[in-house]
Amino acid sequence: MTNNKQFIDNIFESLQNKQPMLSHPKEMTDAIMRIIELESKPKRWIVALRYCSVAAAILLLIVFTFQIMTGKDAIDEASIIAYQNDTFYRMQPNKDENLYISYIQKKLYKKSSYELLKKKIYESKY
Amino acid sequence: MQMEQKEINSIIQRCKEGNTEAFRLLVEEYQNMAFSFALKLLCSESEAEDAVQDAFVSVWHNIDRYSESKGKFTTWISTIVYRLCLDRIKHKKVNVSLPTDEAVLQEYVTASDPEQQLMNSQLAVIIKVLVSELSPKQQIVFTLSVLDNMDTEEIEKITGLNADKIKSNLYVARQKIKKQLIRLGYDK
Repeated sequence: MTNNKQFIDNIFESLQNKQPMLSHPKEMTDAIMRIIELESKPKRWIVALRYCSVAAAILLLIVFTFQIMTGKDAIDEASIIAYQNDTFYRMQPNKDENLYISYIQKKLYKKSSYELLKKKIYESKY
Repeated sequence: MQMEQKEINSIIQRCKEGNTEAFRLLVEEYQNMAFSFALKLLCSESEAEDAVQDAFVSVWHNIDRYSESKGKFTTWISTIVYRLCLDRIKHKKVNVSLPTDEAVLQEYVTASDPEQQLMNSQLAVIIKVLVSELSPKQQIVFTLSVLDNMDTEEIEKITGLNADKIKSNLYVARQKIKKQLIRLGYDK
């Protein structure tokens, strides 16, 4: 039994000194680095995507601001046209056949003036 | 030439900052150690290489979690290799040793020079025959304690088993290997 134990211990001891080495260490290192670099690429894409979305947001904001400003100009233009219409209306002779048309024009002008006034008050408040 | 601890810490710090070239140095330094450990656990050269590759990818992803307070860097890498190998061992088919494998063991045992050099495949086959009757835990404890000559404290850190379980698993493993060798006719 003691001989057996000694024999087995000798086998274990001799195996203990065996340190296996990689047959192609450089290839192993390169393979690992390739995987890591491939996995790192999506991160770069995410950063690029982040920059793109910030740029798109800024562009949208500019477009939106431009549209608001153009809209305001259109309102101002509308008020000038309305004023001109009013002047023109006052210059027209008040004939019977044009009575109904004049009434409608006057009503429309009053309505648009009221709306414009309401809008301007609202804008001045906020 | 082995790196000094200070140098290793500096490389680890650079890896944490995402420096892949620093990580290359770590791989070059520790890949043989990881391979040796994986080969003894998996008893297959190709599987050991795959496990080492997976282990280092995992090291790269989790390098932020490592700190000196967790122990030696080699122990931390060994823990990752151990977990990957354990997973592979559990999913592996039963480890049956073939007559050709037993012939390799016989050749090794009967050789006059015990310090003879073994090829990776030969060493894998010899360990495969020896541990063929062991459970995964017994195999791991036997490999770490007997073949890698680690102390109980380090085995505890790597496997998460307590000292009593390590000792009992090691005792059973030795008994089973002894029986296996007697069965194969190595009865002197």
